[in-house]
Amino acid sequence: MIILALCCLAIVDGLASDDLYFNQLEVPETKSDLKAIQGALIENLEACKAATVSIRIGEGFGSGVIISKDGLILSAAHVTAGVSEEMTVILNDGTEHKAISMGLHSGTDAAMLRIDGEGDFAFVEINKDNDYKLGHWVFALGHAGGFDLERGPVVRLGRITMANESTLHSDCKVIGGDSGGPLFDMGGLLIGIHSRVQASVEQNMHVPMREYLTHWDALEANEFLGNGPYAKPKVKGTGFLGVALSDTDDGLMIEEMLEAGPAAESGLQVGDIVLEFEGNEINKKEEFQMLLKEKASGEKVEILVLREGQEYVIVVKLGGK
Amino acid sequence: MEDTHIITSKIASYVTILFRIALVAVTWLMPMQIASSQSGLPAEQRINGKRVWAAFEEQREILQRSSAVIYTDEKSRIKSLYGVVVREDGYVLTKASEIEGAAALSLRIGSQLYTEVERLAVDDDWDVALLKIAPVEPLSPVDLADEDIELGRWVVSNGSTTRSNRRLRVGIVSAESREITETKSRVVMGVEFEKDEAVKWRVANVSKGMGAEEAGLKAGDVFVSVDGVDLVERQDLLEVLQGKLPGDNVAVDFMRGSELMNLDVNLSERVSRMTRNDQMSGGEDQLSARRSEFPRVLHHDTPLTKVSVGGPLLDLDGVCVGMNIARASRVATFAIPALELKALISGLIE
Repeated sequence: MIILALCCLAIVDGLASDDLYFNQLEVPETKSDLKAIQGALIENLEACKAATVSIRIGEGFGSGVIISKDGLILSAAHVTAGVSEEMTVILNDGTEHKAISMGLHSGTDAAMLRIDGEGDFAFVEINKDNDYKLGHWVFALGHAGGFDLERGPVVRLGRITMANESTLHSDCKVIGGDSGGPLFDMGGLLIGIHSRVQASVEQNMHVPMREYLTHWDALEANEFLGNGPYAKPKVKGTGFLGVALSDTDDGLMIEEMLEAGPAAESGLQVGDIVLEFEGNEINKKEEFQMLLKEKASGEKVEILVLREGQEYVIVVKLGGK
Repeated sequence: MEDTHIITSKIASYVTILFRIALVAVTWLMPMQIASSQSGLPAEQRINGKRVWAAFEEQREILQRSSAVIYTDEKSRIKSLYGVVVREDGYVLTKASEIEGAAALSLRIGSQLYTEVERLAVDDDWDVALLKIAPVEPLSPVDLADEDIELGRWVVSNGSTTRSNRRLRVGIVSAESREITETKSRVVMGVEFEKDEAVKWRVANVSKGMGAEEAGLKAGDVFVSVDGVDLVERQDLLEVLQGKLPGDNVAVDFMRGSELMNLDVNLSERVSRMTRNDQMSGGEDQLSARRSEFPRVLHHDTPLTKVSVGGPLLDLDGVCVGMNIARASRVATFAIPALELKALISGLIE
C-alpha cells in the first residue's frame, strides 16, 4: 500500500528531470532512447506552446511565457526595456492584449510583465528546484523573427551545454524575436528564458529561473534592479525635444527647431501653437517646461498643437540631452 | 572574439543601438567563455555531436544509398549540395538554383561517381531540378511518406561527406508547415516611415539620392495613397510595391501640412535584403540564396548550410518525409513535404 501511494505521489508531482532515464545517459544509444526523448517532447509540447506569447513593442518583437492564470509573464529585460511600460502581448491565435512591464534586472536580463485586465490564460509551471544538470535534454519555444499566425511558436530541441549561477547555455538554437521566450525541461517545467546568442549555432544563452525566484518580490514590485547592459533606467529631466518656444499672443509657439532633432523628426513644425502636453492644457512656457522636466530620454509624449486653424496630435519620442 | 547578439527582432534603425548594447554584453561575457571551455558539455555529446549521431546509424545508411552528392567543379571534388534518389533507373532531384549555370555537373551515389548527368527539367515553383544518370546497378530510391510528419519528431538530413561516406545532422520538426512568401519588396522609394503605429504613414526620413528625395518628398509628409491604393495597414504599401521593378514609377498622394499633393516617385532596387536575423545566422554565405517563395514547407531546426540542402529528410523509421530545399536562418531549414514531392516527381518525369 505504501509503495503504491508513493507511486501515485510521483505521478501527481510529475517527473523531476533527473528521473527521466534518457537524462542519465551520456548520449542516446538506441532508437528507443531517441523515441523516449521525442515522446517526452511531444507530450509536453502543446501545453508549453499555449503559454508562449509574442511581445510587441513599437516594431520590435520579443517573446514571453505566461506563468499564472491571470496573465503574469516572464520575459527578458532587454525586451521589456523598462518598468511600467505599455506593450502588446499576442497569443498564438492572434488575440492581442495590452500588457504592462513590471520589474527587471538589467544585469541578468530577467524581467516580468503582466497582461492588463481580467483573463483566464493557459500557463506553465516553473521548475522551482532548479534541478537541471549539464547534458539534460531541454526544448526552447519562442516567436523567432516575430509573430507569425500560420507558423506559430517555433520549438527547438537541445541539451544543457553549460550551467552556472546567472546563465544557462544550451544548443537549442534561438534568434531575434525569441528573446524572452521559454526554455523547458523534458517534464514541461520552465527552467530558463532566452537572452542572447553567440556566432555558433550551438551557443545560446538563457536566464535561469533562479534569477527570477531570487528577485521575485522586487520584480513584482516594479523595481529596476542592477546596473547591467540589458536595460537603462529612465532618469527624469533627461528628455530632450529640440525646440525653442516663446509666449505669444496666440499662445505658446514653436519659434525654432533643431534640424533632425526629436521634434523635427516627429513632424512638429515651426509656427505650431502648443495647446496640450500629455493631456495638460498649456498656456505658458513655464508650464510646458515643468511637465517636460518630469520626462526621461526615450519616453514618448503626446503634444496637441494648432497649425493653420487645425489641431494635430503629435507623438514625440524624446531624445537625450 | 565572437559576436554576441541580443535576440530581440528589431527593425534596421535599431541595429546600432542594439549592437552597442551587444558590445557591452561581449565584454561582460568574456570570463564566462573561458569557463565554458573547461566545464561545458563535450562537443561529441551535444545534439549534433558525433556520439549522438551514432544512434542514427540506421538512418545514415539510407542517406548513404538514397542521397546523391552533387558537384559543379570539373574534378568532382567540391560538394555543391545534395540530391534525392527518387527512382531506381537513375532519377535524382536537387535544388535547381544552386546548379543553375554550372558548366560542369557530376554526382556521386554511395561511392560511385557519375560524370554524365543530364538536366531533364526544372520546376521553378519549388526550385527543384530533375537530373538523370545511367546507373551501373539499380539505385535505392527513398521511401516517400504518405502523410505529414508530426511536430516535435526527430528528422535526419545529410551533413558533411567524404568520398565514400555520408554523414548526418539531426533536428526536430519545429513549426507548422506553411507557405513561405517574401516579406519585402524588391524595390524601394527611399522613405522611412514613423515606427509609431498611430502615425505610421508619416515620413520620418528621406534617403539621399533616391527616388523619393528626387521627386521632392520631405520628412513630415503624410502618405495617403500609392498608385491609387489607399494606405491603411503597413501591408498595403508592400502589396503595391511587390509587383514593381527598379525604374518603375509610382504615383504618391500625400498631405503636406493641410495640403493634398501628388508626386511621381521613381523606384530603386533594394540594396541589401540582409536583416539583423540574417546577420545572426552568419550572413548570406550561410543561407540559401533562394529561401522564400515556396508553396508549402516543413520547418525543422537542423543546422544545415546552403551546401548541405538538396538531400532527403528522414524520420526515425527511415521514411523520407521531405526534401531539404533551403537553409533559411540560424534556426530554420525548410523542406518540401513528401506529399508535394510525390506529385512533383511524377510531374517532372512525365
